[in-house]
Amino acid sequence: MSLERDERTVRSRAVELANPRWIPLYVTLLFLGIFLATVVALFAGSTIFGVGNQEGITLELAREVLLSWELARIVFDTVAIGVGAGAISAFIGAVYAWLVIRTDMPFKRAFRVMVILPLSMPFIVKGIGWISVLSPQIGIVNVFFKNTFGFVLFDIYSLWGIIMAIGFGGLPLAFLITEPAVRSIDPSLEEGSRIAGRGLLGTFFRVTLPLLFPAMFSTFMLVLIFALGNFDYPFLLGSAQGGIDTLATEIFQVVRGSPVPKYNVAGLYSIVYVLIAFVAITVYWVTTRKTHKYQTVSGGSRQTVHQLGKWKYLAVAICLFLWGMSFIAPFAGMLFMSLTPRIGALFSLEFTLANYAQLFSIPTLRSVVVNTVAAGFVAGLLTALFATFIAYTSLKYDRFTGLGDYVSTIPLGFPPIVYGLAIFWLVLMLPGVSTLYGTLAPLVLALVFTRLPHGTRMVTSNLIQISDELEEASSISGASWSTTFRKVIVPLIRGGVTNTFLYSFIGSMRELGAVVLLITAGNNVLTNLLLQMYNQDAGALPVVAAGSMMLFLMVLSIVLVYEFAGAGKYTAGA
Amino acid sequence: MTVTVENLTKIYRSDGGGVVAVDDVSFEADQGELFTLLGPSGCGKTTTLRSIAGLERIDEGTITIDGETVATPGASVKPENRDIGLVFQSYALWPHMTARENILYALKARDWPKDDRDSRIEEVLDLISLPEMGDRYPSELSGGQQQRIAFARAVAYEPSVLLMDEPLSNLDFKQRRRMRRLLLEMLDEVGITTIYVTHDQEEAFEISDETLVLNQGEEAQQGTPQQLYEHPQTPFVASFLGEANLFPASVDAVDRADRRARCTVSEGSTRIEMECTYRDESVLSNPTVVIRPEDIYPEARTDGAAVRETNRWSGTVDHRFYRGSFTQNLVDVGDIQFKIKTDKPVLDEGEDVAIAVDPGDALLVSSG
Repeated sequence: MSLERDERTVRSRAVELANPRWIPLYVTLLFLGIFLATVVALFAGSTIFGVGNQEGITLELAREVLLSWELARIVFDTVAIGVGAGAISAFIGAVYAWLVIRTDMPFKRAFRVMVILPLSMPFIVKGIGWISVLSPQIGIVNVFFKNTFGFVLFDIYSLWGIIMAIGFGGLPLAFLITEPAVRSIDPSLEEGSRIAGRGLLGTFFRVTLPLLFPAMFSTFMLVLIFALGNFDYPFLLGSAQGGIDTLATEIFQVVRGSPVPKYNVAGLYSIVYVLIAFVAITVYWVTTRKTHKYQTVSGGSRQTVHQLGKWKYLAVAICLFLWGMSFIAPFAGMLFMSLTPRIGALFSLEFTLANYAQLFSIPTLRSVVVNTVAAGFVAGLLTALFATFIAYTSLKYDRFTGLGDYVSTIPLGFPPIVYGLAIFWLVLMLPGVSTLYGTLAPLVLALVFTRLPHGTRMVTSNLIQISDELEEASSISGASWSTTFRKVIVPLIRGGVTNTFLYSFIGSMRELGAVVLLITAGNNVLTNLLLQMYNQDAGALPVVAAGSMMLFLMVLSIVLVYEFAGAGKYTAGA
Repeated sequence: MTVTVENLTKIYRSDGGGVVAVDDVSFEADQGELFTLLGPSGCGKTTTLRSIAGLERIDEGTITIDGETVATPGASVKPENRDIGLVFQSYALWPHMTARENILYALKARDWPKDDRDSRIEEVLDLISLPEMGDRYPSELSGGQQQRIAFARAVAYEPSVLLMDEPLSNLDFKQRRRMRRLLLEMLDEVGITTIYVTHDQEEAFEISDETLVLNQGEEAQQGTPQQLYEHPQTPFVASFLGEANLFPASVDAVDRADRRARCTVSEGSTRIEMECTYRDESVLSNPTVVIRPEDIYPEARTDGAAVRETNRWSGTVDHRFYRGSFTQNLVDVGDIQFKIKTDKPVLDEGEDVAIAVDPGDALLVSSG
């Protein structure tokens, strides 16, 4: 037994700071440092430095860009896509969840399981799928309608097209958020309405939907924030066709699409973009904090099921339609397109594997696949590591809870493509690091940034269940902090950490926006390869579809691991 | 080993100021003694225990284990370097380890000789009478079994002091009674100094050698269970330990030779005279009378003994609560209500009755 020296003396403070139990705090501070450096690099880079003989941001340029109708149009499109997609997701999520959980509809189980499947389709893959189905020139459905009825059913290359694609794509997320709320509705509230004389439909619209409003609003905001930051859909369905631009696609266009990259304009767009995203995030935080206050989720309330009678066939049709729009339509489009011998031959029912053969003959394909998996894997590991220490910081030190929350929340306010741009500047400006440009390192950093907020939440929700007494019991038993961390904490949060790793791995393989500005010839990944191929030659769509199929299968295989091996056995604390 | 706590003060600081959880508490638990910290929730007993364990930094005072200072406001020996075991209220068994692994973890961390670890585990599993349960996970054990494994884990490495934080409070009534007895047997066998925290006075009375009652972070009274029950020093101790009639009183005359005082108790329009006992003259300035319900006799129970002149009042039975092994009655003497306890339901509601109290059973304490 030895008494620690008085902590007020300088020497003992140094000893105390070297105590391993502060490692999580130091890792959190390290991450905060990198994050802040990135933000500084973005603004310093585009305002002061400039590239070549190009100027940074001047007042004149700021006036020209910020006060233009052009910008107003771009902001309008960006926000409209967010609001529209959020509204669609929130509504269809509530309908789907209610039908699957609270009615006696047939095949409920299957619908409950299937709803996850769309998550394994990367956005760019879904975008390619939608083009295959609803492109006015070559989309399967539109070609059929043109040939049969003489008109185009729906033009996916439109604002509504983008809204629909993102909105229906949000079904899995919307379902997962709404499901607990649907389960927690006190059945007597609905029964009361039935007894008071409202029919099933009236009850759904007058009682159930209002009760689900907090969850639906949550969905709305989350999908809105996602859609605001998304690059894939607006680029494929809007910007690439000309006409519809969002801030994400414009930042890409002024950097990569113009003969001389206009980094200063990209910087201005980024500022506007971050402001909009922060407003959305703030609204989300303020409103959901209130939500938790008045949402009464009582566990173990009895589950009753509404008898649908003959309406159950309609219910099945509705669920099939929603799920089909979320998954089957783009998937089938992509599959057909990848097997067609030539665009336009879809209805001759000739199929070929030539597109796949052509895909595999691309010389760089192998290295691109390796890059995709390697970047995703490393990003997954780093996300899990950072998330674990940040979650620990926010839960286990009395004095630093605010810091942990802050570090894990703020990155949400930065759209992925802005990260890409910021890291681009960071790598160029930091002395000695610029050799990293063109390697996988900046990609990995961007991927970690974009996945960390949710990853931290996954670990936090696991760690919060581990009572402090389990740690205290360990130190009473004679174990040091590091032993306690390794032998007690880590095994108990293994489920959350594994999930975070897989979530980040999967998400990283699907990500395009965060990495698109960081890619050079040497560090290409699959999502970007598909984008480039499609961008260069729209006629290459069948080969792009074959590539999409490959990416889909790669992601799907990891999603299956996630589903079956993900959650840990001992996630609950004592 | 002896545990000495001197002038312990612990303040929980928050933005709005601080809450004094423990205020200048001192006591000593002697070698082999079972020392109980007893009090209602929020009285500071768990904070005191956690300070001894090293889980809390203290703001004032010193804590000494076996003559060695382990905590002062400026310095603290880490929990892992104090020679203690702790049984948590929640048991805090690590859910990812079997019972055996839980115990082994502690033995390893405390550097128990490698070759003897297995035999030591068998030994403590025998001690808690669960020799077959070693390979079960905590989730596969009942509450009582988990409690015993937690005990085994805490004593396995033979700490010199054992701390127990309400170890029985998560068990149901019957289990609690059984475990209490088993715990005593196990502690007897281990024979180490134990500091035991509880809010249950029955539990404290049954197991303790010495008890310190805490109230709002301060010492209320220390003593053996019998001393505490029979000679409470404050109305709080009197009412927290068992039931008590408490009447604020004023002193009319004092008989110092017999330590008797004649007092007046008044309530509403009723004033009665009462002959009382005191132990310390300091209480006379502002006294409260404490009378245990079982020390008040309805007249029928005096069994022909000399009819009292003093401490005898006529009243009416206001209410009768039948409790099986005893019956409690509320008797109104004017506006003054007495709780009395009889073995058999001898009184009926509405019945007129005379009640009597031996002056030796009417104890004056300081109202504080």
